[in-house]
Amino acid sequence: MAPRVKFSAQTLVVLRALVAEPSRWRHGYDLASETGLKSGSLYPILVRLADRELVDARWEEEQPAGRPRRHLYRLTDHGMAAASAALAAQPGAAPAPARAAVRRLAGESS
Amino acid sequence: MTARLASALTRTLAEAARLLPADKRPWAEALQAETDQIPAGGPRLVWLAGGFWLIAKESGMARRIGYWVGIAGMGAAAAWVVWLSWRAAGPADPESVTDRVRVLVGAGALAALPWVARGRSLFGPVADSGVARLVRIGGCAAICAMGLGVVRADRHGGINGIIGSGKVSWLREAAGLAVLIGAFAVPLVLRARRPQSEPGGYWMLVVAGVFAAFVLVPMQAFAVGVAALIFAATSRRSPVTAASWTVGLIASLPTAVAACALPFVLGNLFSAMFIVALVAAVSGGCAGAVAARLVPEAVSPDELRAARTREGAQAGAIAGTIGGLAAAAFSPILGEMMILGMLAGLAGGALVASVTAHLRARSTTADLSALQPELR
Repeated sequence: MAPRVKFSAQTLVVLRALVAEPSRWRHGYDLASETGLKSGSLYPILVRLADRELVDARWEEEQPAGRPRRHLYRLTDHGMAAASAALAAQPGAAPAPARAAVRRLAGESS
Repeated sequence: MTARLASALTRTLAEAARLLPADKRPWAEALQAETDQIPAGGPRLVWLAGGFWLIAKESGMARRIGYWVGIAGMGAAAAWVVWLSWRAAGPADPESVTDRVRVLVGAGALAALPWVARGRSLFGPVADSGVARLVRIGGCAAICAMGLGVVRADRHGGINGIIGSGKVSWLREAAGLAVLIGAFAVPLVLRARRPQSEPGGYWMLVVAGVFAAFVLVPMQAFAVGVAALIFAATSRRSPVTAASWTVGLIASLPTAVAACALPFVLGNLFSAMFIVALVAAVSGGCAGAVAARLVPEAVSPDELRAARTREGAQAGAIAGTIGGLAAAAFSPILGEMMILGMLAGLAGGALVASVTAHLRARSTTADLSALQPELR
């Protein structure tokens, strides 16, 4: 079962962007442009997610021409599971009691 | 001009990144590495400003500055109240001396409680929630305001003969303070000597000690008890959730307004307190219903029901306590509202949340029955 982790609304916005392309390494400005978050909000969120081992972070391996190397981010497997569970629990996916009931019944019938 | 400013900020950011611990420094460097990609002008300056915020946050600077500003503010407020008490009254008035004791006990509780049991963080660092911080600062300010109210009442010869008049029993004052100190100190000593004993026994001692102190020295026990409650409820170890804080804080407004207005509108303190308790119970009930509905789904229906009732009771108690505390800060003759408000809010919140939890559990069972044929 996916771990039940509580996220703030802004963290969920970042997670939604990362979940959309889980295999792609994203950089800060790319995420900031997509989510609309300011750097002062985005980076502390990425720090928290990396501390909780939900996000992998690494530097670009090769030095690109004309710009510094970028720091890159993507979800870990653990992060993918936690993000999917948190996003599925968001209002609009399905009424929460009904979802819980479906899961319980599915568990009982299998 | 902006290009020069951005360049200066970039250099300053690189220097400021040294304030971060080594494992966090790459994050500031990462932000800086992206700067050239950001459109020049305002957006780049905003991006760099975010870098300074990141450094302030991750180096713990913002928290440390906030903590020390808070401590200094509370210290200044407590010192001001004590100074007013000393300056105002004549040395021959025994009541003013007890007021000084009361004010000193309140200020001492604010200073000592975070330090007591700091190893276990029982009253220790504030929870990582803006509302918890607001409640802690507001609660400490309210206790200082209560001290000020006591001093002011004494300067004007008392309020309806309740505060600032009457004879003082030094024996009772001394015994009450000794019991109050013992209530907090004895469990700590016992725990240090017999670490394997049941913690429930210590808490029973604390409750019994505080109750005895309340009978002997109500004002002092009120101040220390409420300070302890505020610190414990807003500490990192507290089980109170951010949702309960927010809902309880909003729902405390009607109680606070009623408690401040009704004694003057009705002209009768006891009728006013009865109606305010009713308001606290009703607003606590509303807070309980909302908090219960905000509880996320749980695996087991029993867990969910218990969590909803617990959250509702917490939100109701918060609504009543904050409302009562605001009333007590407004006027010291409403000091009892702290306890009365909390009990009324707790009762209202627990009752309504329990009913809400049961009703929602029944509707979930109905959902289940409806879904069963589809799943087969």
